Amino acid sequence: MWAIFYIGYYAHVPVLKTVDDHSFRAEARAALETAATEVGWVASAALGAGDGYDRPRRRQLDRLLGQRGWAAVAWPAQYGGRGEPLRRHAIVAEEFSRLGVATPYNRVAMGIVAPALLHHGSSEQKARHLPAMLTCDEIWCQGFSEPDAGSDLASLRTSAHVDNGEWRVNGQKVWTTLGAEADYCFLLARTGDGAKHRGISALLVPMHQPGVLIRPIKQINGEEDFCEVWFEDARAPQDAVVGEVNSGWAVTMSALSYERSLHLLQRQFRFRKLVDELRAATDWTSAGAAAEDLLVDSEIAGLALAYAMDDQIDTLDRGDAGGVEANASKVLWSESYRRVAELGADLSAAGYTPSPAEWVNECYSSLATSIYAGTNEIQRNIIAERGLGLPR
Amino acid sequence: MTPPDRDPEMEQALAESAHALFGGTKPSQPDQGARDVFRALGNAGFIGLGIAEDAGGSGGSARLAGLVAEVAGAHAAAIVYVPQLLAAHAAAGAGDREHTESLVAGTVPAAIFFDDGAGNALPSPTALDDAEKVFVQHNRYPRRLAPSVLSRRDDVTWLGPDWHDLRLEGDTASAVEAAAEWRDGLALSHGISAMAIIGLAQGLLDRTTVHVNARVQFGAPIGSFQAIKHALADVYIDILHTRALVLGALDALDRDDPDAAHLLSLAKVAADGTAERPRRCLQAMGGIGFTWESDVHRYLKQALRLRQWPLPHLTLRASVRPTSLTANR
Repeated sequence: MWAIFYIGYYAHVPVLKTVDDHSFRAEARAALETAATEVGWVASAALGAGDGYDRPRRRQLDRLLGQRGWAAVAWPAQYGGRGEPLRRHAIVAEEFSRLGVATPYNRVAMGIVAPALLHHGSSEQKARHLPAMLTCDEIWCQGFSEPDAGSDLASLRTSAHVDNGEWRVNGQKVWTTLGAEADYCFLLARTGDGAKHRGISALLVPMHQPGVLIRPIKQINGEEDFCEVWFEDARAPQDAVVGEVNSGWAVTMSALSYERSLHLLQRQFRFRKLVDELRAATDWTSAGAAAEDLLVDSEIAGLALAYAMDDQIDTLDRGDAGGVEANASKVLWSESYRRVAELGADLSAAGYTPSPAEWVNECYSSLATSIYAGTNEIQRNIIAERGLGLPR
Repeated sequence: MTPPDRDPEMEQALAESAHALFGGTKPSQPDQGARDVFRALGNAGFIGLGIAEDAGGSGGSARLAGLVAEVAGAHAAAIVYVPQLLAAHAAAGAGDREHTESLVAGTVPAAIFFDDGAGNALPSPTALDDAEKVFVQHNRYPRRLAPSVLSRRDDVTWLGPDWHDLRLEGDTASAVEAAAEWRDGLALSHGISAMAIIGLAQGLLDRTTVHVNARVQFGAPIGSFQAIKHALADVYIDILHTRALVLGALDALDRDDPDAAHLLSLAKVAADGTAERPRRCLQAMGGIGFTWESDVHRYLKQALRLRQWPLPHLTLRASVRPTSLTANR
């Protein structure tokens, strides 16, 4: 029932300007469905199937599609992509969503590290790491936040210095997504004397070595996605700096901007799917006008996000980095997701829709979204200062 | 279904031209000056946008008409442009060539009403004193709309200075001169009204950002305070997304997408929310925003009027629920 419903819905409102790209969509859909069948992936509903859903098969699925050039179609062909515009990346992302894949298995690599390497990495770094990211042969985590450097990321204190021709890293990171299974960490460390944003470098640090200690952190939803990581004289080769030494802040900001735009794309697909599922599964005959209006508002938010992100894809495809639009969409998406999760929990508690435990868990998961990838408070500051020109 | 061709450079030029017109001749109140604006709008071809040239219009699309309505809003001139444009569309939709041409030319200022089918006329927030013709859409909800053309002075009594005091006298149906289905009338009106709201909200946000950069309290511009930043950031977030939705829905109308009417209803519900956001701007402006010393009140009033038009917000919300709750539509 679900599969038929999704196909019907997305045929009406796909990534909106792709209506004429039927042949590419059909090709992508066939490739994804073939791979899904081969690895035994069961297309799932969005509800209850977030980042933690059937990770072993998701890894196999991503590996297969990476090998076949479907995991990152906008990358250059030499690194395993197809050199397609981002609009086609969006189509593939939507097709992944159709299969119930919320995000790539190697999501830190694909969402943050790879964009940083593509824009700022050396040719050796790209050739070494990008294909391995695609096939999940290298799992990556990010080492940004620290106990005393969260929203104020530029106050980070982890340091790195060169000793006998290699980097030595010392410090502590926290909220390190996928830290427990990562092979590499994309790490920000202080390498110079410059204050705040200056003197920071982006390093590619191997995780499997004695100087790296990892402690998973159990989250509110029971998952253990992120970790605390200690670096004690951990080693990295001298050529492991992305971009110039002490230019890590600019490298990271461009990577985070990319994350907000395209990573968010898949998140909003899942949000819209969740709204559709709630709509279809609920007995609306007596749920009441207040609940109905909340569902309508969620539908509006999903459509508005889809149209606005569609515009953002056009902007990126023109080679323009855009302004603060992606920051704005991150805020709307995260807050709308929280509201629809709360609506699902309310409706299921009252017996109008099934799966109360899953909806409560969605509520828990949704709470992270206004915190990670830059808190919504920081996003609003950025919008006000860079978008509206208000004083710092 | 082929999406309409978009020409960003042409759209930019159209918007700049509209800014020059509305910015140069905007009337502050309905007065004789407004007649000049109507004629200038007619000369620029703005009133005929979205009406085929062989029907007496200027060609173009509903999207382009929406972009001009947005600029009209940005100059607090929505009450001039929106009713005139939609009255012209009503006349054209009914095949009334004579009225179409005079309305498109801007020589006959008009008002437009939506009759909700329960005996209530829902007038446009227009400069009614200027209106020589009043169009009434007899609203056989949701689709069938048959325009009547009334001569204002004979058939309509203007009771007071505010829009909600307007009443039609007697049985308006008996005054029908032209009656035919204006198929997309309500949908188009939702889209145009929504774009005008977007323009009003953006115009107000622009004025507010200037104020909060200049106004110093506690030794700092008030725009440096996070409470102000976050409030105005929320207005920006709302405008960005609602604008994208409304334009997407107008595109759907232009390509005869069967979902266009529902999309435009949803887009108008979203814009009605945007119409409330300027309250945050007024809050940031402080006391001056509550007075006629600044033009904030003009923006806010027009936005709140358009929130209730062409359908009252709650009526519109009730009307979208059945479709929104139906899966596999």
